[in-house]
Amino acid sequence: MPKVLRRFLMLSPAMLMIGLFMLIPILIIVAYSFMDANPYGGVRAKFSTEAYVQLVFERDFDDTLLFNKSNLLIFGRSISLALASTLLSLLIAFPVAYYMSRQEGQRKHILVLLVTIPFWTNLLIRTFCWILILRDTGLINNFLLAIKVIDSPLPLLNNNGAVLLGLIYSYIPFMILPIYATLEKLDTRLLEAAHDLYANRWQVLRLISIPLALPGIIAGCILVFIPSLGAFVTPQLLGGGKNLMLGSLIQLQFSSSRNWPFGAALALLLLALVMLALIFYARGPARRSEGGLL
Amino acid sequence: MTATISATREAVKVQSVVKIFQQQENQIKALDDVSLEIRDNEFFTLLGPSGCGKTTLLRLIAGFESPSQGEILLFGQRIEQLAPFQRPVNTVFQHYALFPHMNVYDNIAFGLKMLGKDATEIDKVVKEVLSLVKMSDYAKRKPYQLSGGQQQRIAFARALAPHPKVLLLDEPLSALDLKLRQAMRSELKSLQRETGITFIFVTHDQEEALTMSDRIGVMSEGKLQQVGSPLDIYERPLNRFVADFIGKTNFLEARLEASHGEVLEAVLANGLKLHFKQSLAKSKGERISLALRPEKIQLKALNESVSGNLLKARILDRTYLGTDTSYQVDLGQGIFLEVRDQNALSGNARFALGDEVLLDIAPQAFRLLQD
Repeated sequence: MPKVLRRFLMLSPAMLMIGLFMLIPILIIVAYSFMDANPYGGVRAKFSTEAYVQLVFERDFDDTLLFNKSNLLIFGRSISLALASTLLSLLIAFPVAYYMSRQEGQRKHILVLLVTIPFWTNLLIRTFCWILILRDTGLINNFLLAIKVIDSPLPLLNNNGAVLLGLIYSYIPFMILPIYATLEKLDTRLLEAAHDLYANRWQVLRLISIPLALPGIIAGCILVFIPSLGAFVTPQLLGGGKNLMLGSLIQLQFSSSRNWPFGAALALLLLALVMLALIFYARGPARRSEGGLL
Repeated sequence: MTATISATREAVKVQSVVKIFQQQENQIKALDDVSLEIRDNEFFTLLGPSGCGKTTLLRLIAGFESPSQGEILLFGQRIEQLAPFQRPVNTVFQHYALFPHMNVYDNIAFGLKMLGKDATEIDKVVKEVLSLVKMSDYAKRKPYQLSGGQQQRIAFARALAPHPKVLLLDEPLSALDLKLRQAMRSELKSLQRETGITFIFVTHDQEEALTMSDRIGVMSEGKLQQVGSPLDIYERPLNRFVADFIGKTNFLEARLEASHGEVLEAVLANGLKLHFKQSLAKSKGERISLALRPEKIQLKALNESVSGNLLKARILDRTYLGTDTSYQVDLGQGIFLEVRDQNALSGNARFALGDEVLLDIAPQAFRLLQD
C-alpha cells in the first residue's frame, strides 16, 4: 500500500501538469464544440451539434442542408501537403542522417549542433526570410532576371509549393535527428557482415540499414507529419490568402469568423487525425522492432 | 616448376604486406612486412596478444581494409583491390554480428540470396548447415532468443552456407564461457574436417591455437614471429617472444664455451656449465639465450642418479596446481628457475620449502633462441 501511495505521489506532478494544461483545455474545447456560437465571439451555453454539421454542410436560407466541399478540400490539402512534406523530408533527411552518423566523434557532435541551429531563431522570422527569398522581387527572381534566364518573375510565393518548401524547411530537423539517433547506434559490424555475405552497398542499405533504422524513420515521420498537418504560420505567410490549411481555418474561426464552436470542432478533428497517426506508429513498428534494436 | 605446384596448394598468400593506420597525426604500423602462405584445407591460426595485428591481417583478407603495401592472393589471384562482397571468403565475427531483424533461417539464407541462388537451393543448403551445427529446430527463432553458444553456431552456419573457399574466424569463441569454449573447439575442428574449407582462425588464446590448428602463425607488434605446427611452436620456439607467449618458459643467459660435435657447452653467469644440443650457428664466446620449459626439468633428491646436466638447487617456493606442483628453485647468484613436477599418487608434493634438490636436464631440453 505505501508503495502504491509513493508511486502515486511521484507521478502526481506529471499528472497535475497533464491534467491542468492538457486534459482540461481539451475538455473545454469539446464542450465549446457542442455549444451555440455567439455572433460577437465566444459561445452561448446552449447544446448544439451545429458545429459538426458545418464541417460538411452549409445551411440554405430555408434551413435545408447543402453539401459543402470547401472544408473537405481544406482537409484534403492539409493532409496531402503534410504527407508530401513528410515524404520529401524523409528523402532529404535519410542521406543527411546517414552521413552524420558515419563521421568521427567530434565532427558528429558539431553536425548535430548545426542541424539544431535553425531553432535558435524564431520560426516567424525564419519564414519571413523565405518571403524575401521567394517573392517577385526576391533573391531568386532578381538573380534569375539579372542573368537573363527569365523575362518576368517566377511565381514562387503564395502557392502550395511555397507552403511545402516552408514545411520541409521548418520540420526537417525533427526528421534528421531521430533517424540519426538510430543510425548512430547501428552496429557497423552488421554492415560488414552483410558486405562479407556478398551484399553490395545498395543491398546493405535496403536490407540492413533501413530496416534497422525503421523506428527512427517512423518517429521522424510522425514528428514531421503532425506539426505539418496543423501548421499555421507557414501556410499563412507562404501560401497567401487563397490556400487555406487546417491551422489557418481554425485560427479564422476564433478571429474574424467568430464561430468558436466550429473552430473547436475543427481542432478536435485535427486531434483525431493526429491520434490516428500515433496509433499507426504505436502498432506498426512496435511489432516489427520487437528486439530489433538489441 | 616448384612455384607453380605450390601456387595451386596455397589458399591464401600474403606477400610483404604493410598496413598503416593514420590516426590524426600519428601513423600506426599495424602490419610490418608480413608474408605468409596458408595451404588449402588447412586449419591455420593467427596467434598473438591484442594489438599484434592479427585481426588487421584477417580484415585485409576479408576486404574490410586494404593493404598500404604488398599483395594478397587467393588461390593465385590477387584480391586486394576487390570489395568484400566480391571475395569468395566469409567471416565469423567475434560478436557474431547476426542480423537482429531477421530470424535464424533468413540470417543463414542471406549470403545465398545475395549470390542469386534460387529458392529451392537456398532452402536445401540452409537446412544442411543448420543440421551441421545441430540447430535445425531453431530456424524460426530471432537471434535475441538464442543463448551465446547458439548464436555462435548460427554465425558459423551463416558463414558456411555460401560454401566459401576460405573461412575467416575472428576470435569466435572469446565471448563464450570456459566449458562451452572447450566443447566448441572440438566441434570447430571437426566442422573444418567435414567441410574441407580452409579456416583462418584468429585468437589470443594459446590453448585454442595449440588444440585446433594444423599450423600456427605467432604474431607480435605487426610482425610474424614464427609459423609452424603446434609442436614446432611449443617445442622449438625461434625467439624469446614465441617462447614466452606460449606456455611457461625459463630463460637462461649464457656464454658459449665450446662445442663437441653436436653438443655445445655454455657457461651461466654463476659459473655453472651446461651441455645442450643445437644446430643454430653461433660462435665461441658469444652471448646466448636459452629457453627451458619447466616440465622438461626433472627434480631429484640428492641421493638419486642423474642422466643429463646436473645442477644443484634449493626450493624457494611451491604452488599446488592439481596435476602437478610448480616449484621456484634457486641456483645461486640470482639465477632462478621454475620447475614443474608431477604430483605423487597421494597428491602430495614431493619436496618442501628449503629442500636441497638436484635438477636433471637433458641436453635436448634446451632451446637456443635467435635473440
